[in-house]
Order: sequence, then C-alpha cells, then structure tokens
Amino acid sequence: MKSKLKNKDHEYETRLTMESLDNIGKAELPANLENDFLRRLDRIQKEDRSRLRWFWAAAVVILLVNGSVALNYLFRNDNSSSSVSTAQTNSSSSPKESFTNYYYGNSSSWYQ
Amino acid sequence: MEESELIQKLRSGNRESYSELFRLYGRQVYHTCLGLLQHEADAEDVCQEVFIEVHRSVKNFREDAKISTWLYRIASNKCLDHIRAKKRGKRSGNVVELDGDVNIQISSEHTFVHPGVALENKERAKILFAAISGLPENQKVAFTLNKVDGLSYAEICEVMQMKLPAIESLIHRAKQNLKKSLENYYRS
Repeated sequence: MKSKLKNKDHEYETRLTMESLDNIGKAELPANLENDFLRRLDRIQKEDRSRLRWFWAAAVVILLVNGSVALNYLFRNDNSSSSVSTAQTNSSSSPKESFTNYYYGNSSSWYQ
Repeated sequence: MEESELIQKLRSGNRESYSELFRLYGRQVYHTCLGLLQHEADAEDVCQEVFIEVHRSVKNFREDAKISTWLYRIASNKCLDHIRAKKRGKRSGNVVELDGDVNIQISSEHTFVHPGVALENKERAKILFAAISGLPENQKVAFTLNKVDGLSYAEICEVMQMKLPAIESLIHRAKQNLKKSLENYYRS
C-alpha cells in the first residue's frame, strides 16, 4: 500500500513538472542587445563594402593589364603585317620569284 | 510597414529596417534561443547571429513563409549548431535506444530557470529543462517550440519543414521520454 502511494506521488510530481511550462511568459529582451546587434551589423557592412572595393580595384587592375597586353599584341602584329605588305608592294617579283632570287640570285643577271 | 516592404528595405541594407526588424522580432528570437540553449549569455549571442544571418541571406529569401516563421527556422538551426559545437569533444550521458527513446539522466548541476516561468513553478521547471536538454535534437526543437514558444503544430510544421504526422510523433515521443525520465528522477 505504501509503495502504491509512493508511486502515486511520483506520478503526481511528474504531471506537475510536465505542466510547469504551461502559461510561460516571454523572456524580456536584454537592454543593450539591439545596440550590440546594430554595432555588429555596422562592422559587417563596413567589411563587406571594403571587400567589394578591393574586388572592383582588383578587377580594374586585371582589366587594365589584360587590355594593355592585348593592345600591345595587336599593335605589334599590325606593325609587322604592315612591314610585310610594304615589302610585298615594293617588290616587283612574285613570291616564287623572290624565293628563287633569294637562293640563286637574280636569274636575269646570269647571262649578262 | 508591410512585410514585403520591410524585406525590400532589408535587401537594400537599410540600417533603420534592421533596427525595426529587431524591435519587432528580437524578443521572439531571444525567447526561442533561451528556451533551446538554456543559457542567457549564449542566447544573447545566438540571437544576434540570427539577425546577422538575416542580413546575409535576405537576398535569397523567397517570401513563401512569414518573416516570423523564417526567423524561428534560423533561430532553431543556429541554436542546434551552437549546442553541437559545445558538445563536440564531450561525451553525451544519454543513451539513445533503437526505437528513438532515450534514457535521460537529469543532472542536479543543471540550474537554468527560464525567466518567464511563474515563481511557484520555478523548481519543477528547472527539473523539466534539465530533462529537455537531454532529448534528441528534433524532439527538443519540436517540444520547445510547442511548449515554450507556444507555436501550434501547423506552425512547427512550417518551421521544421516536416509533415504534420512527423511533428505529432516527435512531440509525442518527447513527452514519453520526458515522463519516463521524470518518473525515474522522482523515484531515485
């Protein structure tokens, strides 16, 4: 009988404990939490802006370097191609003749 | 201010809108964090992290849920991450059985008392919180959202992105586990 009563006590305590969170009130927000959060947010936004600035700076530098390399390459090619074309326009002989002249000399002068 | 308007302002990084968001939902988020973490300083820290996460991910927020639901989801995930990080390296004293039941050892060292609990319930609530801290993660989140935050089962479904029967089962198992551990505690 005693143990039965004791069991009843355990059940009763367990039930009361399970019900102890009924009608629980909302916890009050600590006073400085909003200011702490806003300070933290400011810092993060500042870091984001600085990271973005560095990103654009790096992008501009890469574009400038790539651009200058590309322009340099273009102009060099342009100069060399223009010199070839000048040589070709100055020469009266065909490419085949130029090749023969280069290796064997001008054939027209052989018989003179 | 309407929710969509607030979200647009948050997306543009407007400082005032974050202040407004904190004023509207800060207490709710802090209350959830406190219920799950059972530690005031940790709850303050994680509460701030929740709003920082809003700043990071508001651009991807699809507005298919209410802001409060979204905040509950972020808060419960952040709290679980925090608990996992704290537990890392520590051995858990609770043995999870194959059927999902758990043998919770209620420690007398557990001293957390939620500030929202009525004075006459404080001692019992302390024991209940000690038992809740030993529950498996999903059961703990579902039970806390229901009992401490007062969310309905339907709202918990949205927060935890689970179906209603799954939530019902989680809360039922949580209650069974808590009851068993409390009975053991009062018997010993």
